[in-house]
Amino acid sequence: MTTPSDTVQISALITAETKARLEAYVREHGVKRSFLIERALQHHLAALEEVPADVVIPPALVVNRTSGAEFIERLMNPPPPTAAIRALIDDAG
Amino acid sequence: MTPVEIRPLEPGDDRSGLVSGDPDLDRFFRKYAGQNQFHHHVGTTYVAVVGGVLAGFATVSGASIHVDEMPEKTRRRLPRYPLPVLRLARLGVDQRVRRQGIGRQLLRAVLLLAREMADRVGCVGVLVDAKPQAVEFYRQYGFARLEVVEGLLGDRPPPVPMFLPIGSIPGSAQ
Repeated sequence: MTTPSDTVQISALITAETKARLEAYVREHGVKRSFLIERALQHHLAALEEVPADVVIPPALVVNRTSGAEFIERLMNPPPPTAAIRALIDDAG
Repeated sequence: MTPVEIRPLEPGDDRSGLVSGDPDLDRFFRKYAGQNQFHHHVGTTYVAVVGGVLAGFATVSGASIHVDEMPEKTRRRLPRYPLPVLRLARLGVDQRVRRQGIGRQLLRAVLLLAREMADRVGCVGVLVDAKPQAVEFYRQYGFARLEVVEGLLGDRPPPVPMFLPIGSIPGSAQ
């Protein structure tokens, strides 16, 4: 829990438009400015930490039965390296 | 061929200048590659550095493959646990340095990493989430398409999952 001794004062220059929206919200909802500003900052920082679903790399893949049979066959009897991959691995850059 | 250094992404790297031409790839590299690597530890990005500038990247993570509804006869040929693979989820090259072999060098680094992973912790191959226009690029190295029913990336257009067994990488222990 936050106690008064945990709080510090900050000051920031913001646009007149944002200030007006802040004041309007405070008036309409009856909350303190400091409460609203801290909540807004917390939400913003949490959003920056969050990784959207479309950039997550799923750790497990499920292959269908037909493709799975080919997959296993290639695992058990791997095709010989292609000419292109031989050249690539031999190329130390 | 352009001299290229391949190394893991570092927190101080300036990622803002790389423009692959694919907005999703660029967004991932700028906003989330570092977060995935340094904060969540769910993937590592390797960068190609040319003349001190980031010219390309490849993001990999450990993954596993399960086969759906495998017949018992086939199942007996496999261990009863998920098969570990190295997943090459994203690869991008700055459009200003295309056709200079940077994508090839990144892929080479990933294949060598898979080989090392196979030796040290176990890895049956490399799974790449290929952009549709890159399918032929990967096919020439022996990657073949997989029909994945679960675990696809959320990219648009949907990537094409392709697999290369570790035994098809030269120098790997058979």
